[in-house]
Amino acid sequence: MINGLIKEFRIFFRDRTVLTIVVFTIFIGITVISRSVSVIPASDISYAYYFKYFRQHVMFMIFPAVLVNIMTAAFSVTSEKQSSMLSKLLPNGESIMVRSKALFCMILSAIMSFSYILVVIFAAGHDIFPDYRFLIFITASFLFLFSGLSSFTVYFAFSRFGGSCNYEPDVKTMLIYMLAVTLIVTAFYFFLLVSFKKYYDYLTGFRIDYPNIEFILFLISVFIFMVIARYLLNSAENKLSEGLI
Amino acid sequence: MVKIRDLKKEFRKYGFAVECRHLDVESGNPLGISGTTGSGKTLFTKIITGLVGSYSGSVEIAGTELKKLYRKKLGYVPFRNILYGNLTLKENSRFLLSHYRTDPQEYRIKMDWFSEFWDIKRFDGLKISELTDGQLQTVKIFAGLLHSPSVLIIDEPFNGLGSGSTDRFRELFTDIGKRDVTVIAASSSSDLLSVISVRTVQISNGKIE
Repeated sequence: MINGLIKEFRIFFRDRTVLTIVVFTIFIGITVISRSVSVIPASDISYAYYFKYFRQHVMFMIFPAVLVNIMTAAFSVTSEKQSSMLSKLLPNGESIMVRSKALFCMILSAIMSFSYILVVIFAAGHDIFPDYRFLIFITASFLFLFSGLSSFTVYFAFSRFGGSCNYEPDVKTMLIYMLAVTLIVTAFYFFLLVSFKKYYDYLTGFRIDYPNIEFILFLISVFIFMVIARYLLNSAENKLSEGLI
Repeated sequence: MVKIRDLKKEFRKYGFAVECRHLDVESGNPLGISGTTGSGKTLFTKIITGLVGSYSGSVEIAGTELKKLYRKKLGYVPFRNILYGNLTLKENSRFLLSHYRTDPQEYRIKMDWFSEFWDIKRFDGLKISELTDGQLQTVKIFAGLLHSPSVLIIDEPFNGLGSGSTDRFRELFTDIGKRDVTVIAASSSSDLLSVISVRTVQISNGKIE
């Protein structure tokens, strides 16, 4: 699996278009942070204001993850055009190819998104996060989102890009994919915002009772998400090995 | 050893079928399959490597039925390139060896051995996409032999190499024959094929005669 991941990173970053987009995304991220930090007033800082800042600027961290997923579908999976047969000749080739691609996509999404949070902490201070429990909560939430999103990307790419179009998706297929990703991310964005707000209020003392219901809902959704992710990866694997021994 | 009995794979959509009633190939006796374009050579090689499933009859490779075969026993060199174009030969080889759970040092050992036939050491750090057709073909054969398979199946061995490569192929096949590797090569150049293989069979309209 480690060698599979190394291969994924090499394939991904040796594409100049991808490299340009990644550098550009980092540049946008730094610009957003540097510009947004100046909007935090020096005085009269309230926790409500911090959450507003969090919602309006820090949640921007989803953007790099979405971009990584789109680039994985558009460039990384497309690079398998020649080599999809290779996965069918290697022992457990389909499984390793699907899983290493999903894992790579998740790791890169996490690296790009969490580095954004780190820069926010560095630039704006950690006051916008009530305490480290909140940081852990959003990190865990996004990890689940990224793993689900990566699984969906890999499933979609191997299911729809293979066959007649031979891993070279047309504009329509890519638009359908991007629309699906936008819907998933937007739905989760609002769902997570509600969970974050409740937990934020509890941590800052605006709410006395622990948000049990929200946590149970969150855990259930994570469980369902994980089951779906696993199903998607297995389907992608089966799709890749169709017509084989 | 490869044993094929009553093999039949139908492609109803195209009204085409690949058939082989009886075929035995032993190590040290490379088999050539010759036929014109569209005769079914590539399909046949894909069936006996397990890339095309749902066939009737039996294909036995190194004593194991193809359907139950551990893929490590097979080495397949297809007509088109399946190595990663953006990776170097070394990186591709390391990736393949890790899949076969083979010691990465095997790459150097195999490279030294293979260079007796074709000098591929100079391509070590080059990306696969940077190689010429002839260089790529030698690298593909090297990749097919990297994990020490029991059976090597080559589709169009002279692709990019031409007639000047027959002596090297003969030397290579003799060498791997001594290592108990069974070789099957399919090509439309029946003349060249007869030089490098001990036995040649014809495939016509999907039927091996």
